Amino acid sequence: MFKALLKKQFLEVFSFIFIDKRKGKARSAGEAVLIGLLYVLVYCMVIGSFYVTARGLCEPLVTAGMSWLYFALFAISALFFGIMGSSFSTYNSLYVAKDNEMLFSMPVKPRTVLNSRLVSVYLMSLLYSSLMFIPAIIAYLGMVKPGFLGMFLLILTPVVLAFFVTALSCLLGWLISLIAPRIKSKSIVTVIISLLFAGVYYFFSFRLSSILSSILAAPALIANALKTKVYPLYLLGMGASGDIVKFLLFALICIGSAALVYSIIASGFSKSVIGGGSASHSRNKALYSEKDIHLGSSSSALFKKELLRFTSSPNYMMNANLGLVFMVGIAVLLFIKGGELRKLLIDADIFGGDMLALIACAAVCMISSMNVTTASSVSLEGKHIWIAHSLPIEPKAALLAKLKLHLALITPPLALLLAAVLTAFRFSAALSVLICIVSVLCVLFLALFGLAVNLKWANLHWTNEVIPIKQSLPTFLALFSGFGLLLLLLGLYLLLSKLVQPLEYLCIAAGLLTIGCLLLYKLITGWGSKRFAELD
Amino acid sequence: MLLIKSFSKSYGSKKAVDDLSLHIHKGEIFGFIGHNGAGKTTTLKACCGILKPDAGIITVDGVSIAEHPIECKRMMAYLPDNPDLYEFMTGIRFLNFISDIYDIPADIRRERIDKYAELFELKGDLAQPISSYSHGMKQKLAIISALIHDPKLILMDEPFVGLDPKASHILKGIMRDICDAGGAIFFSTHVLEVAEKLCDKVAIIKGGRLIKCGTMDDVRGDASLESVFLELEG
Repeated sequence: MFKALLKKQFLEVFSFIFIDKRKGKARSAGEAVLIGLLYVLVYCMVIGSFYVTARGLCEPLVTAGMSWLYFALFAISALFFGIMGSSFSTYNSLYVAKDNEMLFSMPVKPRTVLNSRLVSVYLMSLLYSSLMFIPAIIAYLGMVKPGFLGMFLLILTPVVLAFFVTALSCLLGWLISLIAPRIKSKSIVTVIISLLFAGVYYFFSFRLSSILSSILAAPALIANALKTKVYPLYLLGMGASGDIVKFLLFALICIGSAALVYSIIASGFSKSVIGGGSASHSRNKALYSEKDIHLGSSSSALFKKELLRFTSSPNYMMNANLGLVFMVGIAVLLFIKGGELRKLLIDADIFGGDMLALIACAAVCMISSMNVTTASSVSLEGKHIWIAHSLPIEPKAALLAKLKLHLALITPPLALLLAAVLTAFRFSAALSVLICIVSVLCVLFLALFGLAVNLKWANLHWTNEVIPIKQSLPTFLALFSGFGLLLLLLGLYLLLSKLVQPLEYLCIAAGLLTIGCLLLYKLITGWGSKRFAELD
Repeated sequence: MLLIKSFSKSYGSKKAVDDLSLHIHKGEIFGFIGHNGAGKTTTLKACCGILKPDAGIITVDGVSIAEHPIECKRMMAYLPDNPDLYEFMTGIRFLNFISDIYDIPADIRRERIDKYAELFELKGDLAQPISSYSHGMKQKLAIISALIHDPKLILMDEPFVGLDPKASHILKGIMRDICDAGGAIFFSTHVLEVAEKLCDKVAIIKGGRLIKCGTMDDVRGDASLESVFLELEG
């Protein structure tokens, strides 16, 4: 029984190798091998990138006799990666698995189901935490030649650490299962948490070299702090360096905490999955009241529908609009450090005269081009397309609602970014107005372009919304159209640079973009409307 | 009310419907019967403007669906065989969305939502997301959304699938009421007993071609609709 469940679990985890989810068909053996190798290659490349960091830390710390600190630091990173990578998948695979009802209707003990799922959670934890630990071991072995026992303990360290990662992931998954039924806007909370994780990751990535320098500047201080405040990390470090007693103590902590979390989860597992699900559903069931009736025009109804579609999907919010976060982030940064940057650029005299205005405008357009809401908006109609087709609305109205959503989402961050740019660089009034006009036109052009390419290559027959959002030709084209457009405008500027000043060139760019927008608008309302009406 | 004249539609080289002509008058419940893949859904979709005919004319109350699709769609409602509704909306949001599209005033929409949601016992679930609905609940919501703008013509594709006996009974009553008030219903079904009891007229389609059409008595004669259908289907 357990073996069969485990096999099912592995097939599920590695289904991306054997099944083409875009087509919903099995891959050929050759394709599967190729995809498998590709993933192994990517994994190795990530390991390789961390190896560089590991080399930088290993030599000074090992030479200073602080091998344990070296492993402890990588264990912290491994914990972060492991938890970040597996806590949501743990929640999904433990508590909201699609096969819960089927499995619990069969003569299978809930604990057997839980055990089989925990094995896959453990493997995921090992996979993620090894991303950090394998390069650390390789770098260490490049410097130190441990004996048989040392080697054995070194290899066992990530295996044991993965138990602790599993315990923390499960604990987080369990907490999510308790909180999730009470959260109203799950999608938005998911996006915020994902952004927080990404923010922490990028914060540490950008500050990695300064963090490493601080560690290497005062290793004894950090070692002392870690040893006194996080003693298990000291045990891990010493264990990985060959101290068997400390290794066993560390293993006891890891396996003990995993056992403790297991006992907490196992006691309420079947209730959380079956009983708790329906109970919490009825407890939180919203009641309909007549106040819920809101009047609106047909165009506002279509816009609201697009907005609801957008806010219901973390995938759509995150992947199609990551640029919005960057726009706000850069705007805030410019408000804080804009003065310094301006001084730096003016002092260094990198960009002469009004050239800086052109560069700033291009940068705003480039960041804005990372928002591709319209590029998957048509495909996302999916099996619901019949509703738009059967209602008394012009196809043009449905398409314009998609365009409006794109513009409504991007307008506030764009305004903020433009305000930050103009405050930071204090361009002349004429240049400021032109930068705003060109940026707005660029955003409009790219939104229209995204809609046009999605209409041309619409895919309504997806099984997973990630396919139109992330893995489709329209999204790819829309993402790179920003670069393409800027390259074209840059090329044109290089051709005209001897004839026109940046101010005049911005006027030309605004004119060209206006023509482009009008042409695309005409294309969408004409050919696009017909195309939308015929999509099936 | 609904006139289909020499309608043909092909998918690639496969002819789904071939030279079909039907006339559904006001006050009629018109059943459309045929095996799977006979062309029923294609015909219904073409009637409501979702599919473009390769040939032929379809008019609703004298207005061509091809030339004036918006005007025609305002007069009718379509209920598909599988109620794929916007799962990111709650039931009430979906009904408000449909009401906004049809520009239904607040008092009327409130009255109709109350009436139909109570009839189909869905009122308590209107604030729930559609993603949490069962197939039957989605079907009921789709029916309410089809009735909310008081259409003159309703096109229904297998409307009874997924409905509980009580909801089926209520729907049959509503269908009759609409027709008695001068509307018309054109619906496909595999449940011949329902067609036999409910329909004023029936058409049988096979391989995209109309093989029998007329009043229920004309079609079945002294036999049952089932035996006539099985005989015609060969």
